[in-house]
Amino acid sequence: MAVGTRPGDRATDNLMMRTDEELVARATAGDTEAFNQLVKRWERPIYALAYRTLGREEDARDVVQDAFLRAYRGLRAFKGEAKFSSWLYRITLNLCRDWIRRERRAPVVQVPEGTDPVDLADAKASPAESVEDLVARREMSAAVSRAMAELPEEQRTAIMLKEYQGLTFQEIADLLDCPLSTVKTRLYQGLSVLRRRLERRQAEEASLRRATWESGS
Amino acid sequence: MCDERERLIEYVYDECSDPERRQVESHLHECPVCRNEIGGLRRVRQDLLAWDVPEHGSVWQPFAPPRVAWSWREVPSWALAAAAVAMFAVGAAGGVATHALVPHEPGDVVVSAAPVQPALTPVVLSEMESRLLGRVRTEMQAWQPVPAGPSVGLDLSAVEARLLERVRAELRESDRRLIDLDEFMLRIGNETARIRTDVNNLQQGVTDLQLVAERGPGGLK
Repeated sequence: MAVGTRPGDRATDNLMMRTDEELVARATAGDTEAFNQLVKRWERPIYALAYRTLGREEDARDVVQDAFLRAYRGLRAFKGEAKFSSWLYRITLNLCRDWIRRERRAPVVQVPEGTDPVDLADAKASPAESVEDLVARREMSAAVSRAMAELPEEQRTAIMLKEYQGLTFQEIADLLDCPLSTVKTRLYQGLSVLRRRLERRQAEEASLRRATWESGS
Repeated sequence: MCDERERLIEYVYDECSDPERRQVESHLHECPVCRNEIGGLRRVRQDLLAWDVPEHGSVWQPFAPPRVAWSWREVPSWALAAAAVAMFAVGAAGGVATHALVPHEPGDVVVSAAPVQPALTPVVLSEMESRLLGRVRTEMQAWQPVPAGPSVGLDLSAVEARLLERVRAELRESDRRLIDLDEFMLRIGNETARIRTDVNNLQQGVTDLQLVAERGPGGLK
């Protein structure tokens, strides 16, 4: 054993090399460490999907916990016909849908905090990004989340699975249990609506800037 | 092509075959409407990248590794049987030893009026065990499965009747042994009560002796 390596580290390294299918098989046989590894691998994408669907961090956290618990309990029922990640996405989307139905409201549009320039300076993604760029990025993020929240659920889900989760058309069709052509239509329609809304917003901002500049001069 | 939006979407997401891609590119070269459409879709995809997710810690409390559980199933059945017999023998020997060591007197308190039975010693238990095993062996040797054949067939009712009889015999034997065990426990209870009486008498004797010591030889009335 290498110096400074604990026995558990080697086991964890070993699990990190395993495929999802192998980890699922081990977890089904009772290996809880294998399931922990699956969670570690998929927690971020699942959280991102839940957050973008629900719009609020605390709700997304609850849904993620619930999704993994349900996945763990349902491991024996998972036949491996779909990818583990697709199965997990399906569980998460169902939970989000239940949550929205239970709360009887549309997804929340959470405007990112931190409009204070000092906070923004701390929150810069990279040293090369200026505060102005960061402000613009935050505003665009809020505009996108608002525009997405206004889309019909089918279009919003298709766009999220394609753009943010990187699934193929076929994977989305399997996950949503709909024809391939429907997925493409939903994507096209959703993107077209988003495009119009975001272009209108940009036009309004440009108009506002021009008015500000003219009143100042 | 202008009416086939699906093909534009496939092209934008690069999920089309090479011939399809060449066909779309050839069309875009000629059609400003579709060119504009493709440009718009690419821009909105770029805008979508701005929607980020806040950083967050893990929401999952990892499962603790399972404790190493000692399972009865890992122990061979013969070892379990031996352990059970040993435990029972130790208990029985304790009862017998108590019975032998404590002197009996006619005036002792008797809790139960149960009829006197021979002591349930390990030897007796061993004999009972041997008898039971002997019976099972005899019955198994006596039992011959009905040979299967095209004309004879398997007489299932006879086999079931034999099996049922064996199960009943086992149950009767089991009941008898449970009754023996109950009686044994009752006798232990009697012995305990008798020992408690003896201890009380001893305590009374000690108290009397203390009084004698305090008051002198003629002080005790």
